[in-house]
Order: sequence, then structure tokens, then C-alpha cells
Amino acid sequence: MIEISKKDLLEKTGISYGQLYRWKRERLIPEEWFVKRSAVTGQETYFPREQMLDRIEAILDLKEDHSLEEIRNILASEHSMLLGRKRIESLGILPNGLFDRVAYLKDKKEFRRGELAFIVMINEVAAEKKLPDSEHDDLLERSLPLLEKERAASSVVFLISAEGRLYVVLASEGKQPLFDSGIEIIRTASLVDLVAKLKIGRFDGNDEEATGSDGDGKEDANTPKIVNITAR
Amino acid sequence: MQRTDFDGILSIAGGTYEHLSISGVCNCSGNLAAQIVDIDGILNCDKNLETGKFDCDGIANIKGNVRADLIDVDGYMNIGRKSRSAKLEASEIRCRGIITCLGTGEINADLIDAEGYINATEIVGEKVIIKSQTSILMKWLANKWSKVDTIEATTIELSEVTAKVVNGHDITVGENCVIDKLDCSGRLIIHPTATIKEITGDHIRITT
Repeated sequence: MIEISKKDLLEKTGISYGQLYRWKRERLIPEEWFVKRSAVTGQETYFPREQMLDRIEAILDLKEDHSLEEIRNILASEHSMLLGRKRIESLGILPNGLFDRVAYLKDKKEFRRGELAFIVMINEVAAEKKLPDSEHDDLLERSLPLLEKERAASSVVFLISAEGRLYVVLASEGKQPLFDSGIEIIRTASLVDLVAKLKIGRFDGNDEEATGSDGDGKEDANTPKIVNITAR
Repeated sequence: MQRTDFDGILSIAGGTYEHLSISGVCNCSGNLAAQIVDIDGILNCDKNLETGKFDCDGIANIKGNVRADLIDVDGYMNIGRKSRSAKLEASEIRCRGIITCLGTGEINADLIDAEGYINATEIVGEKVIIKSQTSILMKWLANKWSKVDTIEATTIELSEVTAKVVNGHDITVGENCVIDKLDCSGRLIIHPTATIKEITGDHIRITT
């Protein structure tokens, strides 16, 4: 896993020590992401690079309109909110015909935002890698059932490449899996950060529609209704 | 708000209170939660403490984590044990007494303003001010001066502090500080009586 030192993180994101530690204290950044290691200069703190940068970007975007407590609730709960299939199709964030091509999606009427954000990420990587439809669909077919088994918002998705083929590893937050040198990590993100990106328009979704009431979708009874997140 | 007074010597299993006032000796074996905790006597808590305002004029020994809005210590507060990680988290910490937080724990607050003594492994936050006063009794009680392994904050002001690592944006190193390594990315002021072994970072040095 690629890491970033605390000093580099602060320089790159422009946040202060105070912000970093306030967000840690408010549980916006998991404590497990602060990895202390001995270094020549003494003890240094490192973070999982992509996850940390994604999380900070999400917090910076959300903090303009939300309190830290609201952000914590948003990050913790919104991945499980449901969107109807028609609504997703109307957003135009997935390729035409995808629902019909992938058997797992064919009869599915509702999607958690975490699932949708995951599919969008796979789609984005497939486009980057110029993956043929057959491999893209096969990857979704194999990986989507994992999201049924591990639903925690803090779950971390690893998109890896081995012997020219893409695979998905889904891990619980905290102790992260180690990969041997033959495996290339293509993308790493927690479900919560994928959803935050989706909500703030990083995947060209239409936030107005995405956050409005779902025509044919429902919301989990146990999750709070998320209001207005302004698109960038 | 209902006030609960503990005047004698007693043991409790923990619990939730509105206003907890301890004038005697209270031994608590479980988690403790209260909107306000006033300590003029002694509190020994084996687990975690969560509170709005924590006012300690007596002695508080808390082996678990402490989470509060405001912590005001004029007496003595000890968090964690050497062998166990424990955190002290608050929006604001004011200390005119002594705070110790050793082991692998950390003190994390937006504002830490200490005229007393702090012995801790790590202090982090937005603004950290430790200007330990030079009372002979306090110096003796607090093992001579404030000692911290690592201090990291946006703004740091220190005097009479010994630290291994100090990282911040704007740093003022006052009288008699002894620091092994300092990294500053903004303005740096150093008192002539301070000793710093190594200074790094892209900063502006201001001479007083």
C-alpha cells in the first residue's frame, strides 16, 4: 500500500495540524489510519495515501455546509441509503445496457449508495484501463456479491491486478491486508469515501437528483435522511 | 440539573450522572458519564470518563480514556497507565495544576493552555500553550518541569518545557525549554535561554 507521511499530507492538502487532529478527535478520520513508525528523524506518522486524500477532500467539500457532527453522520450512514434503478438510470452515470449485461444487476431494483459508488468506480477504472465489456462485466459479477457480505461503511475496497486480470478485495477497516509483490494495487478506497465522491459530483452525477426523493426508491428505515449536499 | 454529592469514601460500578460532585474518595470500577464532574476530593476510575465539563481541584486517576468539552485542572489529573494507551480528548484544556498522560496515549484538544505542568507522551491540537510557572513546590511535584515526547499543533507557545519533538506552524520557544528536534513551517521565535538541538522546516525566524 502506498503511504503518505503526515508532513507531506499537510503540505499537499493545505490543512493544519489543528484540523487534522480535530477531525481525528471527531472520528472523521479513523485512528487506525494514523500509523506510527520509527524513522531516522524519530517517530513518523504515515497514512494510507489514497484513502486519506479522498477522506480529506470529502471533509473539505462537506464542511462548507455541514457541522463536523453532521459530516460524521453523513460519512457513517449514507452509504446504505437506497436508490431506485430508474433513478440511477436517469442520472446517466453508468453505461447504457450495463444492468442487462450483468446477471447480478439484471433483476435488482434498488441499490445502496455504497453499491452504486462501487459500480461507478469499477466503471471508471475499466474505462481508464480500456477493459473490454466482457472483463468489466465479469469483474462486477464476481465482486458485487462481496458488498452483500460486508456492508460496513468503513469497509475498504482494494482493486488489484494480478497476471493481467483485475480482482476486488473487500476488507474491514483497521488492519489492512498485505499483498505480495506480484500484485499491483490499482485503486484503494473506503465505501464511505466512494459515496462521498459520488455525492459531491466527482463521478459527474447530478446531485440535485441524487439527493432528492427517489421516485421508485426507498430509504433504509434505520438510516437518517440526508439533506442537500451541494455539488461542487 | 440534578447534583449528586459523594462526600465520604465509597465505591461505585460506574454510571451516568448529571452533575457529579466528589468531595470525598470515590472508587469507580466502570465507565463514568456526567454532564459536569467537580472533584475536590479523589476520583479513581478504572474505565473511561465522558463529560461536558471536568473541573478537578483535587486528584483524579483515570485509567481509561477521557472525553470532555472542557477540562480545567487546578489539582492533579492522571490518565492511563504506563502499560496501557489512554487518550485525553477535549475541545479545551486548562491546567494550572498537573496533568500526566503517559504510556502510548495522547492529549488532543483544540486549545491546551497550561500554566501548570504536563507530563505526556504526545500533545496535539490547534493551539498548545505550556508556560509552566516556577513554583518550587510545583516543580518538585511535577518532576521538575513539563516533559512531553511530541508536541504537534498549528500554534505552539512553550516555556520551561522539555520535549523530544515539536512540530508546528507558528512556534514560540520560551525560557529554559530543551527540545531535541523542532520542525516549523511558519514563524519561529526562540528565547536565548532555550536549547534546541535540531531545527528543520521552511520557516521565518523572528528575533526578539
